[in-house]
Amino acid sequence: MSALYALEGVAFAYDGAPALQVERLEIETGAVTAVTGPNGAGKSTLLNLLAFLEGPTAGTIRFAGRAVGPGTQAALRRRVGLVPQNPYLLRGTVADNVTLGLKLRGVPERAREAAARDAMERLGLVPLAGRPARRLSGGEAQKVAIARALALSPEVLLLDEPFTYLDTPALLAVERLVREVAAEGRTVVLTAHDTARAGALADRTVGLAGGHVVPAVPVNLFHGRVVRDAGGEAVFDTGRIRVHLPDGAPGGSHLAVEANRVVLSARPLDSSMRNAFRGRIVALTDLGASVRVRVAADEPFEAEVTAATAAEPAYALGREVWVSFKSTAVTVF
Amino acid sequence: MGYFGESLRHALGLIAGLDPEVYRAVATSLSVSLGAVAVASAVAVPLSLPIALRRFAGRRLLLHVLNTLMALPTVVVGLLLYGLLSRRGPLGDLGLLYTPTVLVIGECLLILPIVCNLCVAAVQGTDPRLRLTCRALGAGPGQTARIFLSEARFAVAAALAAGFGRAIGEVGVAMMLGGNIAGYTRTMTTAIALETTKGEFELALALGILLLAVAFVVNGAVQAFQRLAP
Repeated sequence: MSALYALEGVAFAYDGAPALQVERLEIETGAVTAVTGPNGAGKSTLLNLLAFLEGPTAGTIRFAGRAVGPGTQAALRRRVGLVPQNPYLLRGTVADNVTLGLKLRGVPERAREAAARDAMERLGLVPLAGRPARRLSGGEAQKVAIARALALSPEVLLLDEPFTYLDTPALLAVERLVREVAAEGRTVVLTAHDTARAGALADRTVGLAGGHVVPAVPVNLFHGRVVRDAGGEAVFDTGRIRVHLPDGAPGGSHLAVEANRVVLSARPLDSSMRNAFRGRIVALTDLGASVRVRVAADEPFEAEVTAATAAEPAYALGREVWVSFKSTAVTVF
Repeated sequence: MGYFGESLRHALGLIAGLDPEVYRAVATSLSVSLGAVAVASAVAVPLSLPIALRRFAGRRLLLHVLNTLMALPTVVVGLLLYGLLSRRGPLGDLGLLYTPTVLVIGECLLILPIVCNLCVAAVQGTDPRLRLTCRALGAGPGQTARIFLSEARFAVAAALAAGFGRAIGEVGVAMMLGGNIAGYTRTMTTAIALETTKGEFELALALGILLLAVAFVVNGAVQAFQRLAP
């Protein structure tokens, strides 16, 4: 697969306050990419950049191989469909809203209606077509906004927190739609704070924390500072635990450990893994092929293990375990 | 019944009898006010969009001036235009004084700040997500303007109604620039103000009733329009 978007050294600041700092990020054509992270991590900012609503304050964004500049943004904006979080629907009916983007593009009425009907059908909105858009529930409004973007047949569908207002049936319908859209060769980028759900849906998950891309899902994300231990070695101190860092690790106030690089064991491991903490299993989340194990140590850790591993009695809920990881599994920023 | 009751009966008689003098004044008032609203909205509505949506140097001052001008005394507008358009004034050669045209100009200037200010407020009152929605859907500047006005249409209609109400109800500009010439520049308000003192109380009362009726109808129309909102 080729990269549809390539971001390099991209930074964005709101009135001087940095919101996003992406050294390098590629988003593949025809894939579903989930951007996960806590509120304020920069997810919506990233989506606005990918929708060409904003230009980066530093760095370059390449789209389909070409560098994006202020001169090309407006034209590129029409190739992507953004569904913002808590989308705004205009006065008028559901159908009026779904046809709006097509109208703005000067699509003739018959083609417009056909495209709108197709989009509404895919989201089960046909029975609501004549309803005033402003009187819809939050979940229905979300679906109308998705249909409005989809009616434009965008090359890229950008969904900002699409699952927030959806009940379970609607959520499943949107998930199915996302898969269909990707199967048609279109690119989908969605943001979510529900990392497990987004991760299961996506081909690739990008973690964001404090405006930085963090490896995969930023579940093991800690705040603290880099200090020198008694031996003069740099360690990351969260206030509760100290984590050994790889040689030459940069300074920073965040530390992330990829969940799939955290190893679980019933006894302390005799290995090269320099970070080991004792804790108790407090939650297990089924992600399909793998299981996310939450361990309450002095800091909460999450480890991603295979379903077979998770089935072992040693890793049952409430059991005491050790979490271990190499210093090279750590990212500080 | 007494004097007032008797006059009221006469006034209603004038209205019901389609008295030409009464209805000529009504027609002048309506045409002048509608003309003023048409011109003022043609200027104020497009102007209100950049004022509401853009950030530029002097914007706050402009809003402050517009707010101040909303309280513009009608006689001051009358006085300024009189000075400009009277025979000895710099624009005296145009011969506009005491014509319906100058009434439209005067009322337009009077209501322009009101209509503009209320339209700015109307556009600013739209949902903050609207701008993002327009951009995300790829709307151009002209399309964005149309969408904003469409979303704000009920507040804009209220702004135009407020301008119309001010124009049709004021007396200073109409009197100073129109001169209350019967059948030509006599408006409802100048007739009420001047004919009462000439003993034509019934005529004035009839016009007063009709003036209220016009305001009632205009506001009713705006409300009906607003109720259309889905």
